Amino acid sequence: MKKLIRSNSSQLGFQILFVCLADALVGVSYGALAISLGFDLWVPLSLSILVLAGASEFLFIGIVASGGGAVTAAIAGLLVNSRLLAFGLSLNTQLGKGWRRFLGCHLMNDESVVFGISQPSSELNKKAYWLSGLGILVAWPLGVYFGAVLGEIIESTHALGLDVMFPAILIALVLPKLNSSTMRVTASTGAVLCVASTPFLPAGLPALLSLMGIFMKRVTSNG
Amino acid sequence: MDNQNILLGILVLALGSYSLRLAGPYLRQQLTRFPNIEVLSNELGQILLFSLAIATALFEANEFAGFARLMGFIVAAILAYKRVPLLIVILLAASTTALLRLLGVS
Repeated sequence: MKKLIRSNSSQLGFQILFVCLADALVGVSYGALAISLGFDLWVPLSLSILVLAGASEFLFIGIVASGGGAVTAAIAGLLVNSRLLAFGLSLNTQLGKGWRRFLGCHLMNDESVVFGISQPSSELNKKAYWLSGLGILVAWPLGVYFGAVLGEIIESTHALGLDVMFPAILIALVLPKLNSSTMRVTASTGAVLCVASTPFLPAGLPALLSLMGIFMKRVTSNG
Repeated sequence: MDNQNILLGILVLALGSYSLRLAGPYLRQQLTRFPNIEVLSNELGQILLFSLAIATALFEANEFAGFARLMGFIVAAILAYKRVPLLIVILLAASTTALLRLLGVS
């Protein structure tokens, strides 16, 4: 990993380090939450390594803690993770070849996909994808472990405004990519669909509904 | 809580999530004979990420996440539009949200 950082612009390494740190901090609050809901350490820890997708893990823990069945909770989590299928459509060379591809797929998450499709070359895309993916594979479970050990720190991460980091990073990475009026129209339509449906649909589905924004492309190019 | 049941749930979620991760790139390879699939999937990706940015700025588990986070996000969006470096964008966004919460804004 050191080699990857050196051969890359320090800017990118810094960005990834920061995102991993932010993720670890979210992991701390997640670990603390799981323990406070009465789970043993192995539950959030194994979820964080094997599932490696924060939102679905929160949902799983939440449903089981409120008395729901574990399999029902898993299905709800899968619904949230259905966006991973859509993410995968925009990945190819980033994942590597042969056996590495199987690990590469496991590293797929919101952050690694953002980094993996926003670099200037496909070579840099691959480096950014793996560096952020491996970084999160380490940072997320570590955060969960420390959170479980340290207990309640949820309030303080909230007070520090760390919850705004993820949307802030997303918008900063995606805005420069919306460089045509067609892209701006399709993306805005997608966002409107997503936001308007969020209060009514289960978590994860609004993000998929946003993909319907692509149909605005035909409208704008014809008109 | 029944440990065996929880373990089963974790395995279902883990294997299912991994299958979803494998399916995307596989489908993409099957679709390469269609022209423009690269462009299309890239555009779909950007739409998804932009929508995710707006949605995570506004909501926390289907409910409004509060003005403090939203204001921090708006600061981030303006700075990002001005091409300010990412690190500064993140720090100023988090400071804005933290400061508003200190002042009593949710």
